[in-house]
Amino acid sequence: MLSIESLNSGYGDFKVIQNVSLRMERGQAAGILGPNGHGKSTFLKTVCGLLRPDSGKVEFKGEDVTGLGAAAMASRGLVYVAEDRRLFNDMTVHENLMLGAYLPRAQKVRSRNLEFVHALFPRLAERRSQRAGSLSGGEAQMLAMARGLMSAPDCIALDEPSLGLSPKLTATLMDAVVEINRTGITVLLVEQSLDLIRPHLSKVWRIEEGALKRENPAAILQDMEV
Amino acid sequence: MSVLDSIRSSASGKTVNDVDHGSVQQAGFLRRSQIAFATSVACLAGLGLAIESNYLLHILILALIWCVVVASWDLLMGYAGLMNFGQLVFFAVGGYASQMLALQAGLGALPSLFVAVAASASFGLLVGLPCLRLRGEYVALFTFAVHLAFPTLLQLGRNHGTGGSAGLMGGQPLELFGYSLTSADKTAWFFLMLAIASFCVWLIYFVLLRGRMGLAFIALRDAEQAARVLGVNEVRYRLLSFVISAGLTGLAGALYANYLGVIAPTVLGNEFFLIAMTMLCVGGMGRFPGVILGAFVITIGNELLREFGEYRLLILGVIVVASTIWLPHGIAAWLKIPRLPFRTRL
Amino acid sequence: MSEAIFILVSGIITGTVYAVFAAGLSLVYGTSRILNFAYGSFYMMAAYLAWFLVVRLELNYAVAAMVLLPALFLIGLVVDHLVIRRLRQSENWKLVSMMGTLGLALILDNAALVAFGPEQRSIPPISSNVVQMGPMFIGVQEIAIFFIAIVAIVALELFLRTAPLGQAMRAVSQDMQGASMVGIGVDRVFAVAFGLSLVLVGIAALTLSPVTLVSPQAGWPLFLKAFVIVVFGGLGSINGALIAALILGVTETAVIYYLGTSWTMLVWLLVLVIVLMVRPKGLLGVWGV
Repeated sequence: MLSIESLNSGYGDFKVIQNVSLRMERGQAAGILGPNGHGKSTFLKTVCGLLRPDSGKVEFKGEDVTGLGAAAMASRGLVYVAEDRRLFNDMTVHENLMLGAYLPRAQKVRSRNLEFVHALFPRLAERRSQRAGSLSGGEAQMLAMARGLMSAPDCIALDEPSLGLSPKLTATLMDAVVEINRTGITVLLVEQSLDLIRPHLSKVWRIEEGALKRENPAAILQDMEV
Repeated sequence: MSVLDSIRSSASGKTVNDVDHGSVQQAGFLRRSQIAFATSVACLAGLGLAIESNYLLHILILALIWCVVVASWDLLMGYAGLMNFGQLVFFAVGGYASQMLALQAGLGALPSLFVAVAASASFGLLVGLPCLRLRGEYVALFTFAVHLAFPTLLQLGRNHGTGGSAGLMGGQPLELFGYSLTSADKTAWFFLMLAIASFCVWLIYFVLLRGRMGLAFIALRDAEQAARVLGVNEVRYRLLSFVISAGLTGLAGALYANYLGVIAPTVLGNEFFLIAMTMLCVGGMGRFPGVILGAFVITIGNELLREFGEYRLLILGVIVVASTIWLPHGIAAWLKIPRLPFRTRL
Repeated sequence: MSEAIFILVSGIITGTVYAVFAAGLSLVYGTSRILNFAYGSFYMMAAYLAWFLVVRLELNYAVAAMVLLPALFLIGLVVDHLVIRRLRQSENWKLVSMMGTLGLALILDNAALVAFGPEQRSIPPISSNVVQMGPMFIGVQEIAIFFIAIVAIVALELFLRTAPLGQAMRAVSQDMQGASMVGIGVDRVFAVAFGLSLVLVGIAALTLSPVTLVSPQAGWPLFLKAFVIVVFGGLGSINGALIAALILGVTETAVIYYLGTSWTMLVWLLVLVIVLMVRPKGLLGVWGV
């Protein structure tokens, strides 16, 4: 489904991700674990086309998608849900969801997906005509995930959905992640802690800076089959 | 290490040792560029003695006037991060002030020159003040609006001595040390302009930008938040750069008016603006000596293009667009000059 | 009293056309953050094309519009592809795009000078009839301008609210990265916005050039006005631009009526200074910078 080979990425001269490889099978749910500032987010952004890799290879559904932009990734079914949500704040919740289904492939299954996300997050159905910018943190995160689901992904990449949320809300979101995976969508989840969801994950990696030297923030991925 | 030094090192992501090493390199680079600068001035002086053609001297005088304008412009756009598009207004203010004082107030040419510089510097202060509150595009909008509205001001001032669309013609030649510089005396004008342009370029690039002001601009550009927190006085330096830039450009305008014996609203017209833009784009902003080279290349190139007649300005426009696309750093990028201490992101 | 009504009516008519024109500048800035300095020169070019179609080819207005507007849309796509897109990809795109579009403006000005010469051209009005409305007489031309402009604004607003591409434009203007994450081709949206802005320029050119004259420098005053309107209304906000344009249209008419035409540019500049000092981000701006 998703195969990454010796990926290198960073910001200009500042290398963050070094030589990272991983593989995921269709329908799997996997997690990447690591403390703040060790490149979890950079890695996910590179895979999903928001950052250009310096070198390495990303393969999705057997196709080489290295270096494609985020829109091209989304149209192939690899959808990124950002930690900072990236909602359209001046639009309503409903408009945000409809824009999630912007791509033709998503438009075909729009009403079915809308039902699914409303069932998954009933709160969004209640807030349907509210401005996205006025949502609470938890609701905004639900909307970000729901908008990602509206794009009809084959694989959804979730970047720290629990960031800044209460334990209770985090539990709700993790239940939703399990639910999403149950519908057959491949899930790649990046978090600081995977305690709540670990039993449901088929693979967990740890991303860590090798040393504290800025020039060499080696990202070591350990395959810790659980 | 001063506050600014520490900002510089943090901004460039280097350790303290690196900076020390860097400043050794810098010192060498500074000496080399000073030598190169002095040599260039000396060569130009030699050229001025060798050239007998009045036409060629005239072109070089214009190029030197342009040097002052684009160097002052570069101080704002290339270094201070102020997207000012109203530079030629300062030029016009200087030119008009000196002509109006000389023709209407009967002031001598030299005192007029000084008052003109003061007038344009004050005008720079006036334009600069609102810009301090504005960011990026809004500075560009505001200053360009001033540029667009200024000709109508000159029209409205017809009854107050601006001469309307015909401009102001005449005036006494400049007298320096008992020597009278008439427009016909090209060699004398060439050396006067060479002295003034060298002084302005030296002042901007070797004094101001290598001093605290330059460091403050680097700090503000590379690590704006950090610089603010550490107390770099952004307002003071930006305003100061506006005033100096406007004053020097006004000096160029006053000299231009005195040299040609005329100033007219055309200095704010399509052609002047286009020529100045071409110098900035082709030369490369924020990369000394980019715009200086641009001034010479384009002044001479503009003369060569005259054989294309009415297509000349069209060609210059194409050069501007082409260079912004394919040569965003200007010809300065070809020189491979080490960019310390101006770690330019341009 | 009738004087005040005259200024109000005439100012509102001018204001709606200004709103159409300024909306295009706002649209391009709102989506791509590119400040198009060539916008006034595109107006000038569109006015010459309109003159060419109406006067030289003697087409009627409706046919001229049907030729002109799609042509301008295509020109917009081409210019975006050849110039604007490359400027946007530059490292220092903000400054480079300003210099580049200014260069583009000067190319268009000088091309017009070469092609049409410096003399001013005029386009005959759509109709020179006058109708009586209460105490005042109003030209059919003015009424036509007003309705065309209103239709254009309503159509634009509808497009942005309901059409998928219009929604995508709003999405891009609110969060470019978010838009690309849902699969919106951001470059395509930029290109369409640029093309659309030239269509709005074309509508302004068709309605304004019978009233004003066409010359190679004609774009600049209008460009300054559009700037002031957009800043007044907040860069990137179409509704803000409409309100600002109406206020400033009436102001301008009053200035012309009481002080004379030569004062208009200075008053616009003054308004700009005041607006920038009071609210550096525009009075009604939502997207800001």
